[in-house]
Amino acid sequence: MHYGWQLRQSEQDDAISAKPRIQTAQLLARSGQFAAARKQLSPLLMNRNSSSFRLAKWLSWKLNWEESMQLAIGSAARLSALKKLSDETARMIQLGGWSPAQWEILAKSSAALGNQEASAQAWTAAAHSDPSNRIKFITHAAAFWAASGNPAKAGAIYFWLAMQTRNPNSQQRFFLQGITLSEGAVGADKTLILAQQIINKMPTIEQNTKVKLRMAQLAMAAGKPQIAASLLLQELNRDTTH
Amino acid sequence: MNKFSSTFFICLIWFISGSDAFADHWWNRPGSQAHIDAHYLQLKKNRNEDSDAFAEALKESLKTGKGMGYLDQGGVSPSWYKAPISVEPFPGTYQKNIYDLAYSAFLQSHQLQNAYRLAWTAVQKVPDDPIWHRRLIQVGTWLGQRDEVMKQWHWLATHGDASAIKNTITLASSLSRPDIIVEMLAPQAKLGKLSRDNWKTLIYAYGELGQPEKAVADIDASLRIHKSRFLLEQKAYLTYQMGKIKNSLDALRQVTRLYGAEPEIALKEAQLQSMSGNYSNALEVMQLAKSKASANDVPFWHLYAILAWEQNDRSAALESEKRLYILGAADEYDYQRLIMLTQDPLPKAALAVAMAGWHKFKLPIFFFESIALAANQQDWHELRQLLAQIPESDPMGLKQYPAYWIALAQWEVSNHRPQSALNAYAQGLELSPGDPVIQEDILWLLVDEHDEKNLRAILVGDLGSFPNLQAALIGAMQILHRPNLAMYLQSQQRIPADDQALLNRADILNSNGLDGLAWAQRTIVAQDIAQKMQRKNKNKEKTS
Repeated sequence: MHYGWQLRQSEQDDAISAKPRIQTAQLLARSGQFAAARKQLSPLLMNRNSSSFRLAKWLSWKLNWEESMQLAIGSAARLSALKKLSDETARMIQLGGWSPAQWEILAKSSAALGNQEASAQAWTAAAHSDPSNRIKFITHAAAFWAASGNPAKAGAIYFWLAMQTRNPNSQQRFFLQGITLSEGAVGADKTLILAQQIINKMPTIEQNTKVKLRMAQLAMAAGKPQIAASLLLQELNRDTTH
Repeated sequence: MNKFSSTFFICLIWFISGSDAFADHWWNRPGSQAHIDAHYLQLKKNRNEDSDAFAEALKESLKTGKGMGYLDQGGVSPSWYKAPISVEPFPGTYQKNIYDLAYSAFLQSHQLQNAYRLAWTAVQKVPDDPIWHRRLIQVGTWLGQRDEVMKQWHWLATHGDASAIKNTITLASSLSRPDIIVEMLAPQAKLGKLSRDNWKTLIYAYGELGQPEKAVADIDASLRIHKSRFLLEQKAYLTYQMGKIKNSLDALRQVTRLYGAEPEIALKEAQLQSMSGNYSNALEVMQLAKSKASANDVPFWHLYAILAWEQNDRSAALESEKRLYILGAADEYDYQRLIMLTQDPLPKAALAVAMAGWHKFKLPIFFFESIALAANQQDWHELRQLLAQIPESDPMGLKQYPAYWIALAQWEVSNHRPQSALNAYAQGLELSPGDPVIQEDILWLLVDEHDEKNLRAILVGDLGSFPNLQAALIGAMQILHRPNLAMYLQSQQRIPADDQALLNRADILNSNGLDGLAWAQRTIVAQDIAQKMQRKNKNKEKTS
């Protein structure tokens, strides 16, 4: 039972000491004493199940961020620190369970550290955590998927966005972006099929001249000039003078 | 046989003057240069009329897609013909990206009609964009829209695309658009920058437009910049076509002055001179170039022969006609001239030519020339063969000419068959009653045969009804023992000069008992013969 007691005692200690430790660490960090601040937080980071673990983790990540950013630009120390920070950020994202605001910070930080894929993951998590800003965050996610060399994923997200949006301008924009990314990722012929499926679901989008032109270009690239000719013939026969 | 010779000559004259083919005036005499000129002018006129009619039919056919029976068998339009496409332009405004992509899409999906419609619309909406003109040319060519294609090439050519000029001209030529050709080429022509081929095209186009004077003006402009033999020749041709013979001659003379006398130019100049009636000038021009003319230059030697003949330069005419004859390029009139040129110095050659003419042309004139020459040369074998050539059916109707019967009679005489000869003459008289030639021949035959009976029968009545047969009648009177009448008839004649006639006269004087006078006449003849023999002997000595 010694073990159990020890545990309980530890819990008690933790609960009692967490708040002042965190406050102390924050104070120390503000005065630039990052090592001392980190020392204050280290006991809290030992227990994953502790209620203060996530806060301490967040603060520790913040401390590392601030410390790294204060290093001389271009220095080896800074480069090394940023590498470590990037890995830590990725681990933070893997850890999950953050608030929408924290997700946003993690997403932006990952992007700043050059880890586009982690940023995209963070934006996706942010969208899941905040339905009210879902479209906005997903849009960011798509952009970072694209930037991280995952155009297929990005394209699929844009197509999904096009179907989710009610605004015709946004619909057209997402659809066209989806085509561009998907074409680069899976080729014109598969993208054409995909795009045609989406158009079947929302036929009004095809009335747009830009969409029609893009579809025609796609059809040409896919080696289907008949489809392109048919689309363009419709456009040419439309009296646009009025 | 002198009388036979004269008989045939008269007969030939009669034949020539009596024949319809020779009834024209001298300026239209067959074989003359004027006649040849008229012939070629008529040929040219016919050819122009034919080509005009063809061009008109072709133009109409291109418009309608119908007609041209010989090209358009069974009412189906010729495969090269494509009816003009009636284009309804696409509505709406021109959008470059849409139009560009659509053009590619239509071409790749083989929708040429839509591609043509698109390019056509684009040309209407953005007329200053050369790309669309080129695209309309591309697809228009595939669809056989040659008029539209030419229109677009023309636009490009007039908007700074020098390479389009050639294509415009090619199409304009095939579409009978001389106006376009002139528009394209005339500016360069005036600057002296036109190639020879393009000059030809331009001159032809001016011709089609009926504006040869403009072609001449352009040539003059170019000649002011630099000299050109080709252009001078073209100018000569054009001005000739326009009837300006003097200008044409000037151009040809300029060629000769600048580039020396040449047979080709001399021939043209001589033709023009002869058209103006200046045969001596024409011959002079040809003589200058004669040394450069090749032995087988048929047109040159032909004209030279005619001009020499017209100018009575017999040796030059004979030389040229011989050349044409040997080359096999002599026509029927060359043969006739050659016979006339050779019959005196070379009668055997004349007979050979006449016979060759008869075999080659199958014309009665050569037959009669042949039999006349054969008879004159006493070539009875040839004469017989010639006469035997006429089949029983006589398809050419040669036996309808008295000349045939005269020749047959002569042949019979040569074979000592006077009765057959008389029969032949009788046939001749039947065809030509009162023919003085036959009458004279008959009289001479009867005189030669001492046929008093028949002579008496023929000459019964008034001797004044035979005014042209004095010589024959004198002979007949001697046979009929009427010397005083022979004497009377001879006194009516002009005093004869030749020995034979003098001897005849001496006979008549004897018959009338005037032996002294007869002796005097014979003495004159004897002296004359003695002198001739002396001269002959001297000539022989000289030659040996």
